[in-house]
Amino acid sequence: MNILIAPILSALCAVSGDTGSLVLQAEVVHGPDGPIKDGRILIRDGKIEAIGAGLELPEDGHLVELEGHLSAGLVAMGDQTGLKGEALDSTRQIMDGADLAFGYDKTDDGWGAFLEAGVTAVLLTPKPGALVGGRTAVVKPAGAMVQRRAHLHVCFSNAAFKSGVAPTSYPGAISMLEQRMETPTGGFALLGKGLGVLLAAKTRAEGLRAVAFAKRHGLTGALTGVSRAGDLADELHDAGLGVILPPIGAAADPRVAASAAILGKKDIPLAFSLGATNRSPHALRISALRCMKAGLARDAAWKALTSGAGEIANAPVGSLAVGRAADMVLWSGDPLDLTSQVERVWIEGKQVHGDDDQ
Amino acid sequence: MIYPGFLISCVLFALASPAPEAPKPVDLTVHAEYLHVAPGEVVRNALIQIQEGKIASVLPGRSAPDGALSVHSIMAGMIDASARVTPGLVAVEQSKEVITNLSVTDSLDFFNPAWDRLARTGVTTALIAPPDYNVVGGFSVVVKTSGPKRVEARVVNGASILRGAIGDLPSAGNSPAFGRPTNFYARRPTTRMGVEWEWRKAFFDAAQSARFPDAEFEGADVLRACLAGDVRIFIQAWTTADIRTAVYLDEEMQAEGYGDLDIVIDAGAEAWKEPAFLVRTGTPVVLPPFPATGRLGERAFMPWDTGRKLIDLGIMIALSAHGETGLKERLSAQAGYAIRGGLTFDEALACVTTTPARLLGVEKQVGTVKSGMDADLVLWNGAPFSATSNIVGVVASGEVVLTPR
Amino acid sequence: MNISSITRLTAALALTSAVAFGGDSHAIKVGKVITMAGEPIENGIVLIESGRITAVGPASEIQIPWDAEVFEAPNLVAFPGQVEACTSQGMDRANESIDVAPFLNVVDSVDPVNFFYEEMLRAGITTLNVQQGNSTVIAGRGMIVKPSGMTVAAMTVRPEAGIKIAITPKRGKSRAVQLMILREAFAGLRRTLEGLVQEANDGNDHARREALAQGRDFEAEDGKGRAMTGSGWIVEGLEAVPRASIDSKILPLLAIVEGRISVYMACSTPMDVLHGLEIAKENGFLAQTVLLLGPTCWKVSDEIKAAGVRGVILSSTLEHTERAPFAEEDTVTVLPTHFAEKGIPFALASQNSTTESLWFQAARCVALGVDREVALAAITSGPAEVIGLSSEVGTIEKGKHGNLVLLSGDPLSLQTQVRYVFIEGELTYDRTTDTRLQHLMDGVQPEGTSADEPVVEDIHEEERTAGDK
Repeated sequence: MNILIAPILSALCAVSGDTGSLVLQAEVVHGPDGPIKDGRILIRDGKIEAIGAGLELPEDGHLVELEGHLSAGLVAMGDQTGLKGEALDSTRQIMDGADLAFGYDKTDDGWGAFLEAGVTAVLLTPKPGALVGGRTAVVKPAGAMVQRRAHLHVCFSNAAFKSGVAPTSYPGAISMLEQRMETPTGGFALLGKGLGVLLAAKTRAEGLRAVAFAKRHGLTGALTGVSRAGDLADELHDAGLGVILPPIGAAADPRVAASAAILGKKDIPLAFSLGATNRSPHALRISALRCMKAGLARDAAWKALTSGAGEIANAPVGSLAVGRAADMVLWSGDPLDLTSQVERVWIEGKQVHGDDDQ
Repeated sequence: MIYPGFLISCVLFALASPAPEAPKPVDLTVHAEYLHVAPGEVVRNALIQIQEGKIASVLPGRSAPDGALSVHSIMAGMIDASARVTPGLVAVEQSKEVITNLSVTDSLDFFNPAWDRLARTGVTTALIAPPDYNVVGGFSVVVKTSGPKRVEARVVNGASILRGAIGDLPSAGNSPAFGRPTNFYARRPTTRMGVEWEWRKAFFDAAQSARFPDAEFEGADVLRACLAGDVRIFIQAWTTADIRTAVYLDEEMQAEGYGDLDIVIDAGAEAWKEPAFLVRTGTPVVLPPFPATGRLGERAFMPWDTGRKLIDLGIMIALSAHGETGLKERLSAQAGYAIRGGLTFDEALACVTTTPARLLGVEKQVGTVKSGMDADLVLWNGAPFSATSNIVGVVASGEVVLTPR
Repeated sequence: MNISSITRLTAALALTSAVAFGGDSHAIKVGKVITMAGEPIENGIVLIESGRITAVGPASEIQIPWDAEVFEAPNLVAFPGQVEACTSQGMDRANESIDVAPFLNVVDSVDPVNFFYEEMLRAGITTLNVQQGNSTVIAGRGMIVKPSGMTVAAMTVRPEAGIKIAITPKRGKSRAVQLMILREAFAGLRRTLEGLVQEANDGNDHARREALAQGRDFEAEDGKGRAMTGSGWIVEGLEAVPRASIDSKILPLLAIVEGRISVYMACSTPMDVLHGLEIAKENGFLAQTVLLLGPTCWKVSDEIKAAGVRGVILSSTLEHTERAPFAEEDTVTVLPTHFAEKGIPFALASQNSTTESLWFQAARCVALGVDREVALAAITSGPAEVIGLSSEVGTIEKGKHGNLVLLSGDPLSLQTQVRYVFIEGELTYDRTTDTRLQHLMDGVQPEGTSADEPVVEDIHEEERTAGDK
């Protein structure tokens, strides 16, 4: 809590109220169409009103010149911060009506680490442990809920099996899901009507079954948890699904990063998740860089951290497009350079992290 | 709700699924001094031409062309009717004792390196069954052990085969309920007789449902198909008591007029003890791997001349290796041991090729080296199955899976 | 009856009685003799007298002595009794819990009625080097036995044959501790000997008096001192110390250092081999060392060859498979082929199991590309050489023990059976009387078990015969 109070107070002092507009200028602004040298962003009422080089300063505008790179905040896909012990309800196998949003605690200490890492949107997902763990939510660290029900989380890995409770096997699990899809109720009924599907799997064979399930029922969404999802590229492309990759450390199996490059080449939407709660959010950039080293195009990597992730998350996050909420990060250098630090973070136009030096 | 999972799997196979990669027509020529086309049929100096994964032609009396693969002997790729390559417990649904609407296909993982290792031991086709932790575990599936890592590309359409077990395994781990049962393991059979009761109940209920539509239940249609002989049942029964039970089940159904089951005994180690049951019902037996000391699972004892004895009585037998790939455990070694126990070479060859192919209903596709059959071959540096010979090459669906060193 | 006929009658009686009482002379006539010392002999005869082979050759060239017991087997193949180069089965327990126990002797542990020897005999193995197991640092002395006899004395072929040293750590120890104990054992020996020499030089009689008090014999050789010999290190002046004064607990270590006893060194990893060779060299027993190798030790085969050890014994794992962490490829190294290519003679080892006996190991070697003669030698003359008994066993040659196995066919064929085994000329195994094998191979039911004839009860007979359905 203390981490946030100081910058918020200073931000309130620095910014000239909500009624005025703010123009930020930075050495490079990473806009939706690419990097803009000496770019400017015009923010009003917490939203982006304009973005470009050489923007005219409005009358009530307050210009802040910054050193460094300005970009949209990163999007972390798949985390259980703030949910405390409520990331998994093991009483039932199918909980299509359970919204993770109910477990969201914006006062949790853990959110500070996200802001420090430049993350301004998080997809909350349940821990694998039930066949259908609930509905995911998109939140801003210590901030608002952006999307209450983003996806139905369906687990195709053997983490969903418990001894003594049906289903105990893969065939049993798929049969149970198919039965629910035949006469869909509750969360199943909303699939395809604004509710995406988040297919959780671990092995590639599980991933194939998950993708086949989505294709059978024409579902949109993404596959998460399969490290070497590149081997499933054709099926993923055919089903129109995205992929959320688990964190890729420096010492990880090189085939995992190579897999991401394959997915990038096939234009399959990508994003990165954090996995366990003790994984630092800095892992997002490390994962992206690992994949770039293995051949993932720079644009694809950046998209995976920001706008692409936002698309997969079914939420208007990760982009500095006009009309979007002004969730931005000031980096000391190129965000895709690990030596760059997070200098400041704004959420909906209010600075929530970093020093205030004019 | 007619076994939806199974139906959907069938539909999947029928529809043109997105091919991961179009199979390249690999033209391959191999040559052997001795080609065992089928048990009892040898072609000398045979040239085998392969096109698009099938045997295009077999030409006798030729010499090996330059650069072509030429070895001492070639035989058909072997078929293991009890290969047991599954992810274990999670491949069989145990929430009900008798599962007839699910197939093990939904649990297969073709990225598992075990498949490659199995293919390199010369087993090119395998029957994979749900593990026997359940009384009736669901449908088995015939698969190719190598190829694209996609279910659609690997499944071979053969006979419909349901899988079950009689004996220890389906009741192992279950216990009577003390106080309030907390999971379904407390109500399941805990003894052999409980297991057998489940079998008889399943068929009894199915027979009733044929007569009284009100008695219909989920999965009854598959059981009725079994009674009609349209679905073959592989029953694991190690000991002579269990084999007897399985045969009596068949005979009881006939005696009651419910139908005629088509059963095959899997892991019938003690089939040699009371073979008369098998002779009078014409039940085939898949033998488990030969153990060094004779003792096997569930305290069954299998002497090494079992193959000879059963064949002499006219019982159809196949050999199996349970997915083992070690030099001394693999299917080709089992054939060698069967020969040591008294089988002739051709009888042993049949036990690992043509007979299992028939049991699995895929004899038109695999098991012999004839024009039109799948190009599945095993290449040897000496007489097949001999202790001094080794498998030096394997061809599966026209692709060289193991290259001669 | 005249005198000459009485004489002849007496002579005939004497002849029959000599034969009836089982004389020392045997003649074995077979369809083929594989001597492992030259070309196989068709229609061969092997003559054995007092347990030793006196002649081998084609029937046309061999004269059978008049008093020889003739064994005719025209359809069988004679093969040398196989040699198991190092085993730790057939004993009470493989190891004591003490780390350094060279004072132990397996003669106190070998169990003549252990099932193991029966299994070895029916597999055609007639000479076994029984050593302690690998759960030790320095174990006691082993012995070479034959698998027949009701007492250890009757089984003995050569006592005090070899000592087991384990480089592979004993359970619970790290390699560092294991090697420290090993090095310290020899260092301790050196210090003790130097101490004794010093005492003798000082005119101190303590050790001698101590030994006398313990009742040790100072007769003959033991009463004399002897200069120490050794290729590693020696302690000068040891001739001043009577051998009997040296503590009998460490005398075997002195035998090792002086190169008077073979050392069987158990190494499971390449690292073990390198350490073992170094210690052996330091302490002067490299030339007497036989390495027992694990499946990965092929990686240091060059070092093994350069070291000049006495021999190498492979495990029953003939292929070593490695899977690179991120590749999807298995790399397979065939061990017998590898060692054959490097020119390192090796012996094969069996496990006590029908599917892993020596002949099967040899057959698999041939399958994996090893030359047939090399494979056959690896179970006969090879191990005989490795255990230092090449003048006694391993081939069918004049002067060696009459150890023969009569096979129904080629020694490496799956269908061949061991029909008879002769040990030192005596028929020790006859397949027709082997009931256990009949149970296993021929499905003969043991007496007294369930039913001699399978009961075919037809409980549905009534229903079946009672009208059609």
